[in-house]
Amino acid sequence: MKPTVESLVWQDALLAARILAVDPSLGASIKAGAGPVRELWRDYFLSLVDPKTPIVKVPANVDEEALVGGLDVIRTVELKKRIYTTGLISRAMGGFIFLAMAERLREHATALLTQAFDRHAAFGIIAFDEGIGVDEALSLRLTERLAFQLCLDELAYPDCQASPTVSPISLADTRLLIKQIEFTQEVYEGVLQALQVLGIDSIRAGLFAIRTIRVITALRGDTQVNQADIQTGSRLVFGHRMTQIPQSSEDLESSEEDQMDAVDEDFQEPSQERLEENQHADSENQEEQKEAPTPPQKPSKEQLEEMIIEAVKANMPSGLLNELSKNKIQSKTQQTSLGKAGSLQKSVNHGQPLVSRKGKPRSGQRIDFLKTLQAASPWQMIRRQDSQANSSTQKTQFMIRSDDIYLRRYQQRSTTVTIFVVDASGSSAHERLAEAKGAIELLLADCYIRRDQVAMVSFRVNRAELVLPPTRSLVRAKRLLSSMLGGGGTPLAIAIHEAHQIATTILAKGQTPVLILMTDGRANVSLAGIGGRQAAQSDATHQAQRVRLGGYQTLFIDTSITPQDLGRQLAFEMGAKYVPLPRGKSNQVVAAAKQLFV
Amino acid sequence: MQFPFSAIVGQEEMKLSLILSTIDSKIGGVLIFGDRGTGKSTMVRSLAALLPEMKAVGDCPYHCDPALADGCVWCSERKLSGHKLKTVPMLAPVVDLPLGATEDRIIGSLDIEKALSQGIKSFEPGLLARANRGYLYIDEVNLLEDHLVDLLIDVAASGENVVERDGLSVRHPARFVLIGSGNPEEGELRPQLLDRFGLSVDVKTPKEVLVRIEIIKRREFFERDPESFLLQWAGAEQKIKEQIIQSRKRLLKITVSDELLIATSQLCAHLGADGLRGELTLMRAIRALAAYDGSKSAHLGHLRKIAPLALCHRLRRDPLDDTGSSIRIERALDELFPE
Repeated sequence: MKPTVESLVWQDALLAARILAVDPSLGASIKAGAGPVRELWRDYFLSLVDPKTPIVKVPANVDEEALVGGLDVIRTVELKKRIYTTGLISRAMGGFIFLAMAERLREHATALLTQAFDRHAAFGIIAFDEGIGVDEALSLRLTERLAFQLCLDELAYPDCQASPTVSPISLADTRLLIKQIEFTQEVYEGVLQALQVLGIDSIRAGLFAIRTIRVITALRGDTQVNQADIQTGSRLVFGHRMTQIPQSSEDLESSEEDQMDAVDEDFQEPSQERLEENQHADSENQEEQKEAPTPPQKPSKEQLEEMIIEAVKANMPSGLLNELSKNKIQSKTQQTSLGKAGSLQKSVNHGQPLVSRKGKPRSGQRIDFLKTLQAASPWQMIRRQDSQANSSTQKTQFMIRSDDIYLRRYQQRSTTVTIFVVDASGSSAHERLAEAKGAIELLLADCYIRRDQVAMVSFRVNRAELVLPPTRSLVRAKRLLSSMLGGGGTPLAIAIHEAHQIATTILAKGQTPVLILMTDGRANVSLAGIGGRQAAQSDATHQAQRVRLGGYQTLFIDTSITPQDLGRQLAFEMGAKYVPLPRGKSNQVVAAAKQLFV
Repeated sequence: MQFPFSAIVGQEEMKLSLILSTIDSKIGGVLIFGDRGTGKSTMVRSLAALLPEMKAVGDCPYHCDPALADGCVWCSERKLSGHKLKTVPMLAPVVDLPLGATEDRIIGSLDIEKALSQGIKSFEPGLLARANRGYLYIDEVNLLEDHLVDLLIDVAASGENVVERDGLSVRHPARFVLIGSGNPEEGELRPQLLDRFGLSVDVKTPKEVLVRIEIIKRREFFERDPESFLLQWAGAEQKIKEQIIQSRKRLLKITVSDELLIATSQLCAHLGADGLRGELTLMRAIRALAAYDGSKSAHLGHLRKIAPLALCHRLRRDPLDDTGSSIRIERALDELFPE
């Protein structure tokens, strides 16, 4: 019976669980909604680790003090000596941190966690990611430090019936075995070469792969690395990290079937060997390892590299493979700034609470009473002494001074996200794109103090594309904008539709969108993506009216050489400010845009 | 246990700038920006092991230099009350400033234990006090909250931490070398804070496979058997430490010709590097580099080598010009001082 793709994914997930039990600090993110499949995996994982292992659950809204610990003021006051609370992180030492809804974890909490991890690496992180779409994703800082990503999203309960392999040896023995595993230079070179070919920059990935391969070998009860170990290990670590498809390899035509077979072998081979190896495992011990026979045919580093890439590719979902073959995927980078969905709110007194801060209360701000009392309490004895010297205040009075006051803080500043929607159709596309690019960079350079963000959608032929997801990083913008295409029809309706969607998402996050549409207004592709001026124009008008109801600022920059009523009409329908700029110099665009900022 | 500095493969610019900052702390801090997984924090944390021992006043919370006539309040009170100040050897501190640190923890606050048990109002020094005469390291510096940034900018400029609160009034020396690291994709730094850093380095992941293999091998060795690994690198560490001590001695004797001074000014003017601070830092860095080289006098080669590190974060950015700052600096160097 041929295993289905789903059951292979499940097999991989189980294997990853076994690897994590042996080497916790490899870490993993589990992409799946709450549900039986995830439970199943978690239960399996928990069944592998020592029941005494600390498992610390960290909720997404965890505050920083809970993570790292702090002074326990109440007990300190009570006992008159310093009592500190243990942070969640230090409680997880030697065990695991389970991050629930990790995609909602705040940047600061993430940073604290990863910093602690970098310093000790004495705990494993299992991040449960319930994010949907690119809008919600784990912070890259976190995923960088997690070896595996298990996507259990697509799995149904029946896919997960395959009984997990039972480890022939105990955890402790596996860890002992790991120490005896040595790699040849070829293995190192093969793995790292593959890393490069797959477009993975970070060296951590290489280190993860090497460590993973070690564990896989040890799990078989062996100390000799075989090809299947290398393939499996690389697949687990590189699969979700690759950013490009190797162009050099000729096997792009290799059929789906071949790839499936490759996967088959990966899975059959180890399990067969495992059986054989198991019988030896118990009797074999350390001395054996030195005179262990070298594997029959030693693959060269080139063969190894080829093999690894094949293994990684075989595991790719076919959709992603197509994406990749186009050029480079951007989804990896798209995730960064969007990762903290919903973290920014409008109101001073609503939204996600931040750590309270000392300050003088102004109107409308709320006082954090607990914190204030905590801050005041150590002073009581001193103040009582002082006031007794001065006058006769009542002894029992609890004295609070303005210095004690802590204010509640919420994510209050509403970031402005400027969305450029740029017409990349037709002949003037190149110029227009360059202008828009310039304007974006100018805006970014100007607004990084204000912490505003900029995004860009370009449209041509029959689709609109979010070329630059909201970002405040000039560096990132430059990189993403460097490769953009122009030419083709003008799907204005699609573009407005897309832009409106993005603006709505931004509004929902509590940020303020500003839409800047740069086009000549001459639509010739309809919302359905079909050519035809009439339908295209009426679709565009219709979409424009929806924008008008959106309740955000819009700017229409007419780029046609001789501005016509078409653009003005559309701008009117959108409720947009109309600026004809036949050759919109970047700085003029910026100047016009700035008038929209409140 | 810390991965040894000398065992870090490549990343010469980052190494050089950190070493120069140990030779002359007046150069000002080092800003390290780069991709993930380039060993930024590993390197900064490994710096502690290289720092030469220094003399400090025993028990002083700010570990003042005994040679200073006017130390901190603590020292002068001790002197006034007729105590003799003890001198003890100590390692220069490298203090981590975690992102979650509260203002109280950074600047110091009321000593709660004393306040509660004895009703005594006394100051409990914070991270800034601990970092005095040493290093203050902020990982992910671009994520630091604005009010903490303001605070640091202020202290870094004055070299003094002032706490005024509820009748508690303390001022103490807080002279430290600021080291920041971060990933530029996660946000920019405010220009005011940028300016506080003397040198800035842009780190990239090494691309050569052999180099990458070496990195992984060493890292693995370290993780599996840290004791033997440290032993293996002890010699190399000692050598750098010696070099730093020697360079510090040489530093004062380094001569700088008028021509070089003029060249430095010319370069800064040509690039429009903001403020005099750039020029000053560049000059100090040149001296330190010359001392580290073992040269008697600084020359144009030193300027060439160090200018990109000292100036690249000070150039006003032209968003429409894609050229990186360091390339602009090198171009200017070639124009002004053709070889």
